Amino acid sequence: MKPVLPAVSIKALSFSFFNADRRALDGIDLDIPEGQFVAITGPSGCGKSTLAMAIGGYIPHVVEGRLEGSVEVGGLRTDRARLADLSTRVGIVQQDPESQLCTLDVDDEVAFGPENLALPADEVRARVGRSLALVDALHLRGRNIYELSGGEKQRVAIASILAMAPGVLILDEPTSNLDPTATAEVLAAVAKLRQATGLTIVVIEHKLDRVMPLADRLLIMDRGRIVLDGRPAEVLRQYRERIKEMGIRLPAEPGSRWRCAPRDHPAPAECVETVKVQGLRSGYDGREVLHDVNFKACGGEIVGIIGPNGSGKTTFLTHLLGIRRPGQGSVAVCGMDTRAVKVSRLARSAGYVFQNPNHQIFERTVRGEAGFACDNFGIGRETCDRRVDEELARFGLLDYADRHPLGLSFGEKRRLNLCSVLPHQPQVLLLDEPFVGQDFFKVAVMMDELQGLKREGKTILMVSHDIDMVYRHCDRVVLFLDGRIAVDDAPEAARTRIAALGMNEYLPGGCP
Amino acid sequence: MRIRYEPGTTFVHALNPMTKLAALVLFSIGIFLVASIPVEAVVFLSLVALIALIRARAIASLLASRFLLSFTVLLFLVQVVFNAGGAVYFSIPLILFSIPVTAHGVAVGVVLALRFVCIILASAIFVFTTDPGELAYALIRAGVPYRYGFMLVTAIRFIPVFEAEAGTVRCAQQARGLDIDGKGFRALLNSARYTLMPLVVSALSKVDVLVISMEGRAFGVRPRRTSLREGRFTLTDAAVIVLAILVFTLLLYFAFTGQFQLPQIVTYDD
Repeated sequence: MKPVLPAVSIKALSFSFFNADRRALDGIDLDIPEGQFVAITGPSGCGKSTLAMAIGGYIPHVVEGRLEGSVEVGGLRTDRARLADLSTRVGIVQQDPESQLCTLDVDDEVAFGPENLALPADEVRARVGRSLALVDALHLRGRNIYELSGGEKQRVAIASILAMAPGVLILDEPTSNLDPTATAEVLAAVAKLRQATGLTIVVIEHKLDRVMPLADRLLIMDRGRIVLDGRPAEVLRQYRERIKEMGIRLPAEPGSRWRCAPRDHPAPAECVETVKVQGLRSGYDGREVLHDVNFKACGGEIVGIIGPNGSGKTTFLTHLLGIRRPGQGSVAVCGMDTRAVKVSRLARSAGYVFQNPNHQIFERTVRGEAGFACDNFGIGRETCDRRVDEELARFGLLDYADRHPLGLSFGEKRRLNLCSVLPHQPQVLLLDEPFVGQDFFKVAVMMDELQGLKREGKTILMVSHDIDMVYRHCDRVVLFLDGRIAVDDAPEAARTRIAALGMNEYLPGGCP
Repeated sequence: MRIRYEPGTTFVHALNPMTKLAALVLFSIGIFLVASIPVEAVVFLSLVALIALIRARAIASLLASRFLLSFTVLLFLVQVVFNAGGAVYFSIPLILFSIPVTAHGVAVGVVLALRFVCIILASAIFVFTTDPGELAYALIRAGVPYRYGFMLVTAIRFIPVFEAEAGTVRCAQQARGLDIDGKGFRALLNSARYTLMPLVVSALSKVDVLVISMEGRAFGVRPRRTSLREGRFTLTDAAVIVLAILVFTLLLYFAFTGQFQLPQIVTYDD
């Protein structure tokens, strides 16, 4: 009998990006047998996405750089084969659900690949049906891509790759842009895929606790190398401390009960009210989005806002800045009624950090960017300059002060976004997904700084899908559901009530 | 008022996009071969009737919008000023000279204003009833190389995404104290600079993902690709095209031979 060929075979693979000295991949040897489910994780910048690009053949075909060693997928050398021939052997689902879909409706999207291969129309139709069925998305047929939710988009993206009938499927952080509800939905589809097909699946993922039960094998990468490789449970048991040191967040130990960490600094006993929302109803495009929302927050308090996308969290935050005005009810920030005051006045009291760094970087240097708001508010050159440097130093960005902000890494950009709303010293901070793209250490540093701001008496409201962080560090957990505040309580009480609602994706890790 | 595609079931919606595009092009050229107020008035009224028939509220409100009215009036006035001839109705005295308002000037003004409104309305009907995606696929079917056709598809795909992002960018500007409602050239320049840069950066970041997504699904490998979208070409389509070509040919014929003159405005050469 012939020995079974590995689906992926990598020999002495090294790669450095064009114009970079450091090796992004450094001597990788890896065989993945057919049908194996491999999870890859590691701190940000460890090379895991680069490895995915190399297996897919995009290195060297699309991404330029210096390549050594070889990658074979389904019997083809990736550097010698054409990308088109590789595309029927290996497919990649990328992180951003929005940008990887290029057509207008679900059928077009899933048919896109087979159509490009010029397969007969009947075969294309059959593949569209089969692929959508595999990710439980048949009901999405005929829908407009733009109207889909993030989770639905990601499932369509998976189906569109499956339609190419590859032997190897790579999912590169498929859930990191998704809310907990959609994350569960996509991972359920991946689990089903594993059962229903003999596909070789490689998943790159931060959320170890969600992928672990699915994986046959766990690879941990650090600085371009594979440092740990084995059965997931064993790897975690043997190397727990070492993994922690790399800045990878571990799933809770089996059997351990979630315990609310003692709050770093208790909220002050006396409440100085900074935010007060009463009977807020509001909507747009003729649709009511917020229904009778009541909320208040005090100085020196961190409030975590969680909930599915589309439940009104972001709309709620924009109300606090006066960008949207209440249809009914009232919103007051630092005693100012948002209907009576201009946005520019409110913005001095409420610093808002939006989700995507690209949408809020306006200036050409890091220093200029951090001082942009301060200048606009006319706070005086000297004061602004001094405070900007203080904040940049606080968030470890002072060394980059004269660089272009777009040259920063994603995590650095996020910290810069936060720096940009601090120099004018707003009383309230509104943060939309502050932790995305930051590894464990960076999040810890950032959280320390937020705790410092809290001690200064600021109110911090943050919307986050990082449920564990919210429970661990916030004084209150607020759950939005369908435009209403469903739960608003201290973490422990909130946990009980959210569990009672059956919203398991919104419970901290380690809960039953 | 913005005109955009709205799904519907009217017979205009059901026409093949290529039919509508061909008819629109022939119509827009053809209307320049007509220099008659009564004929153009009939054309205008038929367009209005068509708009009522397909219940295009958006176009109806375009008709009454300040944009359309002011452009039409401007066009009319310019023609009145620069086309003097025939009977003088009255003169507008200015300091150094006066502008005579003449029969010829008014007639030319009305003709051009009507042409303008007719072309705008016809184009609006086209946009209102034609799914841009269908149009792109129809162009590909009609022989436009699919690589170019898909540039259009992808552009249409990302229009709503960029619209939403532009909204976020404006909010982010306000949040940082940028006065975006300011008047004057500087404010406009600032607004453009601070809106365009983030949007371009965001668009470029999407390109990398898009390249991998499309190349990874063998885009552009074969000279031809299969298409599941089938063009419907019905009898109505055939009728519309035949009618459009017939009318257009007749207009051309009349224009060059001078046979069977449509009622025309009198041209003065003085």
